[in-house]
Amino acid sequence: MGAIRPELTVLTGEQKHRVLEQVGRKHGSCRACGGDTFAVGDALYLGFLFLSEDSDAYMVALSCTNPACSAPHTGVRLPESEFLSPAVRT
Amino acid sequence: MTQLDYPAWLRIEHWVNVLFVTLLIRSGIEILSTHPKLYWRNDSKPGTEWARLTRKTMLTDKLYDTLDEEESYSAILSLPGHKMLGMGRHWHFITVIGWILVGIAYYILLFATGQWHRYIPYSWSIFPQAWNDTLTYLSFKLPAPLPGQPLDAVQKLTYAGVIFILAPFLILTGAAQSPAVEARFPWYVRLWGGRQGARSLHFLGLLAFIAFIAVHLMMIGLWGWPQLTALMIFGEARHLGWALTASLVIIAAIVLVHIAATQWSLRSPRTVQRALGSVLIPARRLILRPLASAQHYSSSQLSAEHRVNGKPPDSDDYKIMAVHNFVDWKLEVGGLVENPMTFTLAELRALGEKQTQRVLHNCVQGWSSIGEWSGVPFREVVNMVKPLPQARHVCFLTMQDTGRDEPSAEGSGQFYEIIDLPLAYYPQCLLAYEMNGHPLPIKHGAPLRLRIENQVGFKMAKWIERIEFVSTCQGIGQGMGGWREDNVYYDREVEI
Repeated sequence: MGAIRPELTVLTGEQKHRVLEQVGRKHGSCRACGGDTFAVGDALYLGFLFLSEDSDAYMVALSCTNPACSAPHTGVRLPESEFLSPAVRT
Repeated sequence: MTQLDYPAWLRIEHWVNVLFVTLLIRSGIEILSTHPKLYWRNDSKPGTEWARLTRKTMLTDKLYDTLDEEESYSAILSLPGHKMLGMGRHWHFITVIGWILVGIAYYILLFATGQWHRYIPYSWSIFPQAWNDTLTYLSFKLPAPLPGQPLDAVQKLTYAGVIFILAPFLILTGAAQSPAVEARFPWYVRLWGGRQGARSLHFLGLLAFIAFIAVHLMMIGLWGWPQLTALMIFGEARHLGWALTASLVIIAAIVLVHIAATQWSLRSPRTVQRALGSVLIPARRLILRPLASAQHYSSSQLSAEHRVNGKPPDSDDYKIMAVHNFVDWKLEVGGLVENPMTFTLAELRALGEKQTQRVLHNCVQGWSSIGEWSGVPFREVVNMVKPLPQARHVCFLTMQDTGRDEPSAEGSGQFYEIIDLPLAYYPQCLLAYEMNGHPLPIKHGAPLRLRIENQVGFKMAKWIERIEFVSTCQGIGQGMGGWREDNVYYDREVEI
């Protein structure tokens, strides 16, 4: 496979953890098999490229970890503040 | 020496020229309105324009494309006005053909009949004489014509300049904007300072022609409208009352032609597209189609920022594919082929040796940029799927939904473009998956786009998901040869 796309942002372990927290909070599930465990991949900034997107929107790559899943690649749309910008602990 | 009178052919050509030149000016302004900015550098970089004929400013927090920059000019100024580039191009190119044919006939008759003496000076003494005539005009008096000639020295030099320099200059700078000419003869476009140099010079030539027409009309008024129009209608200064009337009738007829062309284009653009296309398509196929690209720009000439026309597919499916680096994307190739195939991006990358080309991109709107594109020569895919004998065209279906993704464009639905099958075998016809050494950016058509370097940009479909070999364009959209041809009446053969 070719090099990583220039539009993609590689996430740190901490950022991936925050993504999974958000997925859990939103009760996200795989649209192919209904599974709810995912591996987090890269993030794509949507705000600039796509007309309908909010200016702080990202698509984060999720891969369903169910080995029987027929379409494991999916994603979750998150605002920057929920996973990229420094976490605000309350 | 030949009597420098006003033979019938000269009078007829004069009035035909009035019609053609005015049609060219108005249709040219229509073409200009689609990207009303002029540059000297090939990259058309925003902010580097030396002339702006628009007040629009673009917001930079969202991707904007050159469709957003398009202007809608009045039909009084442009033919037909109202952002109808396709119609403007049809009128411009059909008139160019007529103008060139009339011009060739004019040159032949000028030299065959000895009438060239009226325009071409053969003594250096005409220059001091022209200076004296200019001073005479500036003192609000009329200079005498040259002995035995119908024109004074300034007029003779001006007409010579318009007929033998300005008109060919406009044709040559127009030709330098043809992607087919640029692709086959890159040295030729360099002669004019590049693609944008040629476009800017073409515009300055337009201004020179407008200035000439304004001064010409003023001079006729000063010298005597009835007398001079009598010469150009009856061949001699007689029946001045009738000459005045006839001149007004001729001008009214020319205005009526303009009104008719404008109304026809606005009310029934499809019939204009078909009627004028029936002449333009064969002419382009004959003259420009054989010109295959031989471009190899250096890496130092690459544009830092390649402009964009068209916005990416604004769907979740596309965004999810993109964030996974398009590993799930598949290209289906089918239709009238022996061997329908499906390729992943990795499979396309593994097909033969990667081809790279550094080329000048010509948008139909007039802007340009230079990019490096890498991918698989389309002919390799064609050879694998083996088109059936009845296959004549190739349709590229994309993931873009124009109604959803491109509010600045008229029309809606899935974007597609169709090329003639022979183009697929051209040496720089490429399915590109890289740009400037990196994966093809989303805004430039990721994961796969077409490059055909002797065509304007809109034929080079982006965000491709399926390629279909077909026997005819009928049944695909409106059957005119592509989404732009169907929805905004662009010309199908776009080697210029």
